[in-house]
Amino acid sequence: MKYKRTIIKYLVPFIMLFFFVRNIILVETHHLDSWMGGGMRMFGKIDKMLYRVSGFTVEHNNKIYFVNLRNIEALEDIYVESKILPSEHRLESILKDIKSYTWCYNEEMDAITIKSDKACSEEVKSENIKNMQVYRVHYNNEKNRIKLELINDVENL
Amino acid sequence: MLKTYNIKSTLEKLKEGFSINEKDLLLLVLKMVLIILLILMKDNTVLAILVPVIVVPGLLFNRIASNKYFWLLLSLFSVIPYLILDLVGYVPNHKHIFAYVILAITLMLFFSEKNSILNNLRVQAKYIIGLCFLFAVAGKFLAPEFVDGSFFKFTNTIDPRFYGFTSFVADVDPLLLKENEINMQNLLSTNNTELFFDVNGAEGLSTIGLIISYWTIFIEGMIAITFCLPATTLLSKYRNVFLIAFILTTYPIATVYGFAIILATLGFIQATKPNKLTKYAMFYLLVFILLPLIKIPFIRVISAIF
Repeated sequence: MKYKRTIIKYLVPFIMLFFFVRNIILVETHHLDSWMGGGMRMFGKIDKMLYRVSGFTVEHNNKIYFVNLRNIEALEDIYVESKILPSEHRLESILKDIKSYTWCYNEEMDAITIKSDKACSEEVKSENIKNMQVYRVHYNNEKNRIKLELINDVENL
Repeated sequence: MLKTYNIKSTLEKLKEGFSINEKDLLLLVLKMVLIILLILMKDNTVLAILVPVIVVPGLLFNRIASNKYFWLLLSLFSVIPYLILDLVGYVPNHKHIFAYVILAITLMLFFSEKNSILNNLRVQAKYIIGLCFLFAVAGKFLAPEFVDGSFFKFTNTIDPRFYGFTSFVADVDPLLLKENEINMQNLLSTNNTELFFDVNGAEGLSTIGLIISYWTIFIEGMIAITFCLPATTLLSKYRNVFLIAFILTTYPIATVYGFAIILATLGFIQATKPNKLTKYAMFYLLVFILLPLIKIPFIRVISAIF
């Protein structure tokens, strides 16, 4: 009876501890956003999913284009998923999803966009989709400058 | 004379606390949690539709609110999205706390004797607050940018929730801060990964960044220590002082409604005593009621007046 009471008393604290340890491990090994996953590490690191940029590169007409997923409304769930945990496994699976959509080159914007009714000069072949990339915001404390820094990059095989 | 006596007696009564039936107190606690779930548990279409359907009867009928199977159902609806699928969608830390609180209530309703449910829940609330802050402090030591003050320098100039504070304390033109926000949004939407920008107004924030960093570590550390220590220790008796200091110094600046309201509720639970609403419990209850006011940008309003 006493044993059971102890388990009940410490079950929730134990679950909390589990999520905290898992958070530390996943942050170090799989680039998990340290604010996520129940680690309670909010207001600690600058790098969090809200300040991450996720997208993929496309080779078109001998030029490399970066397609920022933030600008593709239809892929909002994928965009969020890729920023929370940009592990190689997840990015590979996201890249497969991305390739299942039809992409095209928009001459007016000089950008790659998802195929819609809007202007689309040329369709992009899925083999031209090259890499899935996730960046974090890097803050240079001395120069007070903010730029992007690559976290993970997965190649289309 | 009579008026002075009345004020004195009211203050004394406030200091001693108010008597309340333990059963009513438990119902109050359960309904506070249900209100939070009704307001904030709408992360996806399923929860947005189903949570009100489940929660509203609990708010209306006391027998439902204290039914253990009702809380078991709520546990399922919180554990699956917030603890099992937490790495797929956006699940902020306070949603994890929602799941911990619901789980704790369910466990206490299932396994505690009827007259000790709330008492056991007080212990759970104390542990949840203590561990939450312990992890938060540990996390801050794991982040070099927090320890050297650059985290707050960045946050105060980039996160719009802090602009009122930054323009007030560091005398930075709000328009310059607004420009930072626009530049940041452009950077996050860019198709040019070489893009960069210089942050406005960060120069004068080094000292204030360090002060905020070390104040945060101190206050969160003290909350962690005082809430994790056994209630019988001397330091633990001051736990509410530190938690109240944290609430008063944090939420007028960092308006994080979801975390603040669950913290006020947990604070309320652990601050009650058997059949008694203590002065600390009343403070947390007041915070719970007045929290929607944090949406008012107080510092901006004050700086606009003066």
